[in-house]
Amino acid sequence: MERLIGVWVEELSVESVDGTTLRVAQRLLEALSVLCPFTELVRLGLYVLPARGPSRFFGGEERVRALLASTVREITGHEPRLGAGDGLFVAELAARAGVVVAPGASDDYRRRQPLAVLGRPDLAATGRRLGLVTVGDFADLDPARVAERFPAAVGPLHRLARGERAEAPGQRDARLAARLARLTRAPQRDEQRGFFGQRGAAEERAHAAALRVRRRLGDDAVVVAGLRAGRVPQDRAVLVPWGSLAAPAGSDAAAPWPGHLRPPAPAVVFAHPVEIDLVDATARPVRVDGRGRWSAAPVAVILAPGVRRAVVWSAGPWPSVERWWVAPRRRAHAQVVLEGGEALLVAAESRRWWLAGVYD
Amino acid sequence: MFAFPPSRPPLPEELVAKIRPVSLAGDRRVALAAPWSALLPEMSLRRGSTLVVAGAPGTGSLTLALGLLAGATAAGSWGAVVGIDNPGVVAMADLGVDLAHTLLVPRPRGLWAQVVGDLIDGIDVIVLRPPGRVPPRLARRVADRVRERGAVLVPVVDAGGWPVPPDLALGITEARWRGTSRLESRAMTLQLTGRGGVRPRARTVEMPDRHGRLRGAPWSD
Repeated sequence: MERLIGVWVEELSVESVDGTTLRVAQRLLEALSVLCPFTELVRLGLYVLPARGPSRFFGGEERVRALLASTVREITGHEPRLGAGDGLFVAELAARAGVVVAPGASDDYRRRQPLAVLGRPDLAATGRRLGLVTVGDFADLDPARVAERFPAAVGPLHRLARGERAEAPGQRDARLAARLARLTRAPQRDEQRGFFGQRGAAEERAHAAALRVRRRLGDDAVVVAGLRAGRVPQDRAVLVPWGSLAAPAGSDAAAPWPGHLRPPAPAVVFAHPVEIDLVDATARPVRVDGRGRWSAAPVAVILAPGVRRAVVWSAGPWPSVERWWVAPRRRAHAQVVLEGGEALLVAAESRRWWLAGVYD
Repeated sequence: MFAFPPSRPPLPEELVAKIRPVSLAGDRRVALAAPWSALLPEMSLRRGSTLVVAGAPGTGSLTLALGLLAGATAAGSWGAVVGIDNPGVVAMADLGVDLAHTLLVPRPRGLWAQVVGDLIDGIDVIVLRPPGRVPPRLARRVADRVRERGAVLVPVVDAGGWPVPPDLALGITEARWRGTSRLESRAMTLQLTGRGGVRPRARTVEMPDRHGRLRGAPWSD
């Protein structure tokens, strides 16, 4: 695997709405390409270049890193973090941590990282339960077992953990090059920012605030929301970490589907539905039959073992069959109002009831 | 391509200092778009103030707070929602929240006060649901920082859950759902109280109505 120098400029990792970030990123790419023509902008904020050629030319890797740092400071005014390691994945980890991994030590460095660096919180959580703390612990699992027990998307991550892959899935921003190319053609329109540029200033301040929170709590702590097409509220919400390029969908893609649940929508929607029970007057579970009717009227909801609340009103169920790209998904939704006046959105799926939202 | 140079020459600094007002009167307030402005005595939010939204869990306090956020972001301000782990994004959009100008910090863990401190320099309206009981000293400190920096803090708490007297409080005293073949709307009785000569008053509004928005007459005297 090729040894790479990674340059991480956190301030450029977050895209501003007015396109400033993109323009600065482009300028920096041009400047770094003067030092090494093979410099690559992998993602906003992350530049990499091969270590070997420039080191020979400038007289050592350390000298190259010093040149890179001063160039970043000069062009952007920000302090970069630099690192080096074998392969894109390790190079990014090293750059973000500001660590220069010694030649030949990249395997060891990668294996020492916590499992969460693979970018799948669910995998990290599962790993924790299984006693897999580091990337190395995960790498040592038998590939055949991994293929058998984990979803298909985990396979590439396992190869990454084992060092059989140089880069993580999704590490590169595939659209970035095209956007930069468009940028160099588009006329700059700073004038439209308004008198004295107030609008731009408010935006900058909001971004600085988000960056402060992210520094305090971690990269995923600040989230922005968007809408996508779908039938029920829990399917229509898109929550992405702030600053990631996977921007929430635009309004045209966000229209509700025919047959969608009409407003009002619940003010609380669970990303991971909570399992509950709906029972009838004889304390038997309520089911939705094949024709989309209650087996009996629900009289109580059991929110947790021992937490039983009387139902005073209910509407639905509204059954739906959704043919996703996987197997057809049969669900039914219903609304219930509890004795205390709270209203809930509940869903029946796989012969169980789930709490989907609260009309708080 | 340009009839005249696209960049104008910079103004002399002394002149800029002279013509820029120290602080615009309108700048000291966060504007609210209709219909949300009708909920407040001065049709807008005063910068540096704390507006508590109080009500029993599940009776609409979150909707009311998100509605105020909708009013502010629709009028061009930036908003943040701190401590709401499972926000209803569709409900927010229906209320009129500008999602492109809203930051969510779903899980501030034990650091909500620090997170509010991080946000008040760049965000105009911060909706906060503090986890658990709020120590009075912490509430006072946060409210002081907000006053200093000119943001607006909207804590969403149970009745009596904010331990220091806020500048304004909107309490939900009654909430009742109306439904036919589905939930249609919720009638909500709001009680406005506040410091500094704010006359307590009550009114009933529909929130959300059948479009997921606010409907109601102005405050009756």
